[in-house]
Amino acid sequence: MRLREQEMPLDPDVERELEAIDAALQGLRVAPDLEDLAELAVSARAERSGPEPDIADRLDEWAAAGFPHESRPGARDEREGPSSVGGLRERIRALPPRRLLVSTGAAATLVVAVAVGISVSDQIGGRSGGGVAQPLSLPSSQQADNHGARGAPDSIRGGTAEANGQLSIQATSSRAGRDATHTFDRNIVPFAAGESRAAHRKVAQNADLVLSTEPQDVRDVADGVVGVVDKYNGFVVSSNVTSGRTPTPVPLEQGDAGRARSQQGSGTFELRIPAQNLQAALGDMSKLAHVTSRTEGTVDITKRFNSAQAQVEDLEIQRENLLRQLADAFTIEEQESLRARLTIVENQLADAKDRLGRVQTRIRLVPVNVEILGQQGVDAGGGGSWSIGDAFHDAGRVLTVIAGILLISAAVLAPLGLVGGLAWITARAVIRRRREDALE
Amino acid sequence: MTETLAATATRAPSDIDTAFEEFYRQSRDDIYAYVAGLLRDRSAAEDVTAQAFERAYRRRRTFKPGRGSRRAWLFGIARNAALDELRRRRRGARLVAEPEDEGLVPPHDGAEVAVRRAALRAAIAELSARERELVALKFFAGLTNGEIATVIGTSETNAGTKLHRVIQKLRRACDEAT
Repeated sequence: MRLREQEMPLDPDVERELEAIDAALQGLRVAPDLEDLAELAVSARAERSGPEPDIADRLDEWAAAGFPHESRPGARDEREGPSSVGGLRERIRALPPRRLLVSTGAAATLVVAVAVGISVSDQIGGRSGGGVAQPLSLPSSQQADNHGARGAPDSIRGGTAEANGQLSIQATSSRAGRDATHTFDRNIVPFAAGESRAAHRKVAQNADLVLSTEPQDVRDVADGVVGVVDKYNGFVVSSNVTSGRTPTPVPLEQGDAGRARSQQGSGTFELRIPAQNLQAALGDMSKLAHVTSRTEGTVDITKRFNSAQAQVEDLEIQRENLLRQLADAFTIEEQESLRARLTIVENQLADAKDRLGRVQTRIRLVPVNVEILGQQGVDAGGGGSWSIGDAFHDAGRVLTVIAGILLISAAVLAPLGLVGGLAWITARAVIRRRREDALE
Repeated sequence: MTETLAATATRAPSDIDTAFEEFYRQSRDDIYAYVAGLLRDRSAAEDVTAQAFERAYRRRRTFKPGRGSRRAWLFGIARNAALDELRRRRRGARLVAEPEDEGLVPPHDGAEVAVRRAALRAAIAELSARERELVALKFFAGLTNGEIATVIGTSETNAGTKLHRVIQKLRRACDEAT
């Protein structure tokens, strides 16, 4: 940013002399008192040195070839060679600033977008579990509501201190007539079959699955669920299935959703599936009908497990000590006192073992809630075709993801661009200053 | 190199290429004279002149008439190339004393004129690089005061004042010598 000097009118004498110089250089006569100045101007002009013929010829030949950098005449500095850094710098400098900015900006946008895309795909890929490639939708806070509404059991639903730090990601998959929404709880501890990657970590899982099918197929799907539970050595804690009927054409009144539901059939299951079979069981159940939503969660309960285990160990030590003291006791009073304390400790030990057992069971058996909804027009069983509606839906999802990536890219690039712009302006000012310094 | 030149030369030039080549022909000697006057080194002048035209050719589509004449634009590019050369010299500690290039001395054509020219030449040699640049732009390249102002990035009035100051200096030096 060069400050423009304030325009001041030239001194008349100075202006007159400058005009005389211009006139002399053009071969015109000047006032007699300025003839010596005119002569000086002409003499100075005579000091002009044009290119020697050989230099002129080289320049002309080079110009006729289109001013190629490689064969620039008089090039004495090898740093300016075509393969050198200097040559590259020269080429970059020769680019119009606007084109350079656009190119740099486009490249930076591409890099950031790719980085964001890779990051996002890693998140989804790491969560999918079932092996189905799932494009990402934007993170949804609705996940927490879903979780509660599905009746996630025990500590998972309660959002205990152990569940702090959860991050939810909702992903949608759509394939050949299937459209499923999967919701994942991302905990500090990644998914594992009952045990975390680190052997000492204890992880409790839970899963909710909502299936939709034609009303008349509710019973079959319910049977299928039971079959899957048997297949994977799980068990049904409770179930409630209402068979669906082919609906009558009589329109339903507003607010009569329950009646509609019973007419169309529904089912709920509270299951326990061995942790090591969870993914396989969920995969098989997902094939029974149209998956409306699928939610999986994990909670690190290592602290609770360790606490229960430590309590058991402490009480066992106490019990052994009391038994030793009882064996050494002489008096009846002393023996009765020790027996009373022993009874208390044994009761406490039984409770502690019960608690530890419950924690171990919680880790080993995963609570799974399955809801079956009878709905008209649902093409269960995976035999439907991909419709134009699905295409619009998928296109919308893709556009949403692209918009999200662009938004994140813009958020990254805006400050970078600002810093880059300031750096560019500063660099130009420094270069200009250094060039001017060369004249000092 | 000959093959490269020939191959490049056979391509069909666009209007803008043709116009630039014409511009080159009009400006070549002036650019060279300005650069040689500033650097006082013929081989460096050839290189810097070529650099200036190469840069200008690459940027020929970016020239905006609203910012000044095309001639001033070209001299601005040449000035940057020349100042870069001066910086390189300063870094390399070459030509510390800037010896006069014998090739720049025109033939003598008379005793009195020779004396005056020798005095003028000596006076120009005594000038600082910044002052010598003004002489080169005005008398060697033939730029108007307005064009000089554009090239050195100042107002026309300021450029005129600076130029006048340098001419007075030369005038005094010549008067003292004769």
